[in-house]
Amino acid sequence: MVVGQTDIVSSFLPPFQGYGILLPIALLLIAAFWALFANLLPGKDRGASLVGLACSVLATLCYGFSVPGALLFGGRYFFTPDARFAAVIICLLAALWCLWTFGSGQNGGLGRTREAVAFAMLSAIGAVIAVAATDIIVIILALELATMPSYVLVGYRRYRIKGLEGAMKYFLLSVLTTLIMLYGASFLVGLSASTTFAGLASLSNNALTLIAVGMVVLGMFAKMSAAPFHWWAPDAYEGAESWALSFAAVVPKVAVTVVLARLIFIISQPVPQVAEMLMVMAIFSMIVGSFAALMQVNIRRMMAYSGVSSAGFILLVIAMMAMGLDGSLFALNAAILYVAAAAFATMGVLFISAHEGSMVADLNGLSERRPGAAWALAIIAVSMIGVPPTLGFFAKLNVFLITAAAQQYALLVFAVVMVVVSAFYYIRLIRASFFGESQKKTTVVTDALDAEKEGMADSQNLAAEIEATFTDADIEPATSYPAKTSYSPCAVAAIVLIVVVLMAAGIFHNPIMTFLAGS
Amino acid sequence: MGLKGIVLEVANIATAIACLPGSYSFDGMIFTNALAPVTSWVPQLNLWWVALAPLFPFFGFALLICLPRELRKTLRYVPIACLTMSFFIAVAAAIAIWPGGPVNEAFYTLQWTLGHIGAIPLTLSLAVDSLAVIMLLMVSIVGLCVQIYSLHYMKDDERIGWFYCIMSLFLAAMLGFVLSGNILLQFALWEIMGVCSYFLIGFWYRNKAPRQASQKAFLVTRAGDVGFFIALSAIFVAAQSFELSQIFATAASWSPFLLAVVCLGLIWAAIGKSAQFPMSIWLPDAMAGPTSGSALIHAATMVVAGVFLLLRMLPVLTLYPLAMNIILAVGVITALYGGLLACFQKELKRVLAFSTISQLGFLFAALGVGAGFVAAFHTITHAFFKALLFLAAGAIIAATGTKYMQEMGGLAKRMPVTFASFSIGAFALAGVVPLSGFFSKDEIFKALLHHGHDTGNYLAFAGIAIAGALTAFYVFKSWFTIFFGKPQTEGSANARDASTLETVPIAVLAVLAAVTGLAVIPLGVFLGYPAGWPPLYMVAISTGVMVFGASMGFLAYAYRTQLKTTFARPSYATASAAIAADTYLNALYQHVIIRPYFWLSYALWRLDVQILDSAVDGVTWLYQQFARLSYIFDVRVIDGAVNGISWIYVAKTRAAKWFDDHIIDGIVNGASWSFVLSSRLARIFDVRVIDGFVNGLGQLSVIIGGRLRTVQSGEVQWYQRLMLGAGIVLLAAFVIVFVLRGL
Repeated sequence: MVVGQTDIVSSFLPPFQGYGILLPIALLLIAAFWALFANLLPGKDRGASLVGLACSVLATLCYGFSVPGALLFGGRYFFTPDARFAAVIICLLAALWCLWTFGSGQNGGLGRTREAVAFAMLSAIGAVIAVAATDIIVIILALELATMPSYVLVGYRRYRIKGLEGAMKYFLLSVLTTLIMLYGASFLVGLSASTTFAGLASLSNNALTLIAVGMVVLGMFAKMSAAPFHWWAPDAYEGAESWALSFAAVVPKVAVTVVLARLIFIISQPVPQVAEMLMVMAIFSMIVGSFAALMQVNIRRMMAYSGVSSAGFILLVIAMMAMGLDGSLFALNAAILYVAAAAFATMGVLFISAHEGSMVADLNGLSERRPGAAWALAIIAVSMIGVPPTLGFFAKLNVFLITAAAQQYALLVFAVVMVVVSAFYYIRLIRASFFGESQKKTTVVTDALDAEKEGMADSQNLAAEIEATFTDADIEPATSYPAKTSYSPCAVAAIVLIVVVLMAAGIFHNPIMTFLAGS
Repeated sequence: MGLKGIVLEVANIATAIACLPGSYSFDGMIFTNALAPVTSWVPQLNLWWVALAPLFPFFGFALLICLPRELRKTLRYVPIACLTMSFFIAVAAAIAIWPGGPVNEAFYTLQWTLGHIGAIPLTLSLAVDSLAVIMLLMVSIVGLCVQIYSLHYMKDDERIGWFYCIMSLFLAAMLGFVLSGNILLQFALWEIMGVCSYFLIGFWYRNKAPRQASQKAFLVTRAGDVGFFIALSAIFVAAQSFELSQIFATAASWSPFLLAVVCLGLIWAAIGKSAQFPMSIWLPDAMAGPTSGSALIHAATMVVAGVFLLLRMLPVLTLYPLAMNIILAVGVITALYGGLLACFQKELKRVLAFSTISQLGFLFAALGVGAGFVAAFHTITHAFFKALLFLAAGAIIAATGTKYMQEMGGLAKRMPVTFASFSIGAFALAGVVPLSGFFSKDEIFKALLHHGHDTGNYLAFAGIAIAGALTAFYVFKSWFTIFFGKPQTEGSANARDASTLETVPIAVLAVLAAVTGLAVIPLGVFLGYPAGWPPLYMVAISTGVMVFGASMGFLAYAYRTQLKTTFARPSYATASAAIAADTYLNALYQHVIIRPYFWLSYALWRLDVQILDSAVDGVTWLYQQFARLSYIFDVRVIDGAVNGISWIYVAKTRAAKWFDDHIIDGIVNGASWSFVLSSRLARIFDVRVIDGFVNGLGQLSVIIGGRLRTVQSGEVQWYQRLMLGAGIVLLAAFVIVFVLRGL
């Protein structure tokens, strides 16, 4: 046995190896049930958030000090080091989100949040199961568990028409692609006469296998919003509320990215052609994401396209992995690191948007109003652009190094150009918050703002009607969704933690990669 | 070298250029892509290109379904062009395998292994024999006529693009069905045809009748598909393969039980699909769809599929005599039943519908005595004259504005081209010398007469002969009513021939319906059957039967006023209306299947209400008690604790305020000075650097972003279409690259 810190700690905590690594799932489940019954329990909404926070912090620690390598349930659940890293990231994201809702929920100005916490916890459970699953059926079930709560989170304020519209679109398009994925999966199961990855590795390479694999990965493309399957994302994001979206847009995406990377890692051996498909999708996503984001006036729409663009970079590195290099495990880890970097940054931007408003123009004068928030936003944006020493820099550096090692120089140049293009819309965030007041807004922006306000007025009238119909003591008045609400101490802590994670993970990049690689 | 040589040469060159990947076996030989010089063509005949016949219409379908409605409408010529290609491929195939050979024996098979299910290969296979080729020709000709006819017939419908889309898929499925050398593939295409007929019958889904008719058709044929599925499973158990060649090779050694299951399942399936008694109830209602769709369903695709399935599986069915007898009995009963009900119909299209049922009964009777060639021959002649009759009926109904025959009359002078064509079709149906129906029906009589000499066979022959007389009766009765006498309505008086676009396909079919019968000897040679001119006594029998029926029909027409008074009597009126509406069979279904089904549902529902609901009520009560207890706990215990905590909180707040005033303010003042400095620097950076970049890229991004925004329209249907389209393109590209790389 290798003597290291992990081993010493795990010898004190014997449950976190073998089947013990399922313990954190139970913790998250406790938090989910607590949140479901929160109005009967002490603390109500904030109590739910607090329990969620405590359980996800505990789960983070459990995963952090767990021993990877467990092969459970007859090869259906393989807890590899990269799965451990992804699980840590997911639990950490859940913890940050609970911290933020703990500060802002109930009397913090946000209103009722307990079901949101419950759904977030359920989604996190789905995500941590999915990242370690090595069985097609488990993967599909877990991914659905990870994504379905996010439909609810997108339309969480049921009296906001835009939110419901977004949720509906998300639901319909997601169901369509899930069906395609299931259809493909049924072929894969039939062709390999097995549901596990071990069976997939022995597939024969023929047209039917190609189509089946294509359909399965196509469903995952849609879930990670890679172009041209990203159509749901901008509309759903725009309709959602920033705080709910900060979870719904992040955690399912981490899960599906890790699952895709692990699946391709196995399936690229019998079906090497999948690399080309991934490359095409990567190029598409980078172009669509980077260029479409430039024109957006709504922060959430911009983040949707930013997600498309990150999906492009992730697919690029997965494609390089699928080409079967010597360091393809390194490429797998790089993909996971990239999605982690994007996840923290997206969550941070959406937290700030939840306080400041939906439009890029709402950020105008932020540096004078709230210098702390402006600097935090600047650091997050800088990480997304990829400037050292942030985590975003190393994530992008890994992608470039791997692309160069695969000798795909044209793709390398293309990816670098796309990074430069994407820099412009991230810079828009910094520019609005530091130099926004000096610029006059364009008419487009004001129109959009007016439309947004009109929509709000409409939806509040409707909310009153709905309340009249379902008279229930628990329904809050429709005073949520206030722009420019004050930051609670917990919200400040959450944002500061995100900034710290982005900076620290960049500075301590090597230890993190070591943790990710499991050595 | 000759025409055949040229076709083969072209085919071989094409094979060399773009051969499908995988392994091929021709007559059991594994054939690789290296082309040996063609010395003797039969064993090396490479017919993979015949697979393009169904693929062309499928391409038309795949293209149209991805497009929005307007564009679909504009591109409705694409399916026609695709089907024309299929027609040429069919002709080339016919030339290539000329002079043909016996059905089911001269297979030129091509297998493409898709993958493995466990250890059993899943293959797509193509079986080209004389039967498949002749069916290809028939389907593509009838399909083309229907599609060209629909250009004008459906021109005012805004969903014409959808109509073409579905027709294209329907034809692709039928073409694939006849070519398929694998019963699993046949089953898949069979199901696709079921779905297509559902869409075609329910085309005007805003009206109630088409909606109900489409559901009825779909459910009844689905009930038949159960039989197919059972047969499929039994075949897989018995033959360990879905390949037709494998099935025929092993059928003789199957256990009697499996053989019975296979045969009965297949018959069950064919009865459902081909609308045989007692599953015929869906076909007359299917008239609610567009007439050109009905022509397709009745002549070339849907109902023919059932007959074709039995035709293909005839080598298996003949091993089980009971199955053959069932087929014969079903056929005779259906022929009589359909013919009888056709006599009572008042609507032109319903006459034709029952006539189809009756004619399919003739086909079943022929199959029941094992006369494969006769069945194939009558299928083809029937396809031509029935398609012709439907298209002409569509033109007549559109011109007169009524579907009731009594309201027509005197159309012979007003619609001369339609009259001439319809007459050829009607005479062919009745079996007038020397039109095609005469020859094919004659072959059926002959086959029945020569089959055996026991009572059953004589009964069958008598039944079919009576059905023949009935056919002549209703055909001539309708023919006189429609075309002679005085016009009964305003619409009929002003009726004129339709546009050339409608009359030309009708006329083409009329020519084919007239002359196909004369080609009985070459067709016999092609299908490997010693067909000859009908002997004189057969001509006498069948003409006698026909003349008897026809004269009865004329009398029914001549004495129609007297008949009307007779039938106006209440006892007759009710009965004839009930027969005309096929009430008895529908009522049988109502009482035997539908009512018990609802009773069962109701019983289960009651069970659910009684047991589950009381359980739920109990849980609710428990929950209420719990909530009450927790409320008491909240007021008594937690409130006390909260009051204690609030005191601590006040003290904490005071401390925090002190900290805020003395320490944080100092830090903030220091920080704000740094912000002022940094913002000045940043402004310079902004003006000099960022603006420069942004302006340079601005033009490009405005263009691209604007484009992307139009695509992002906010409509879910549009997104779904985009996603599916992108998915299909991606997967297709993926597979094509794979295929090209395999070369």
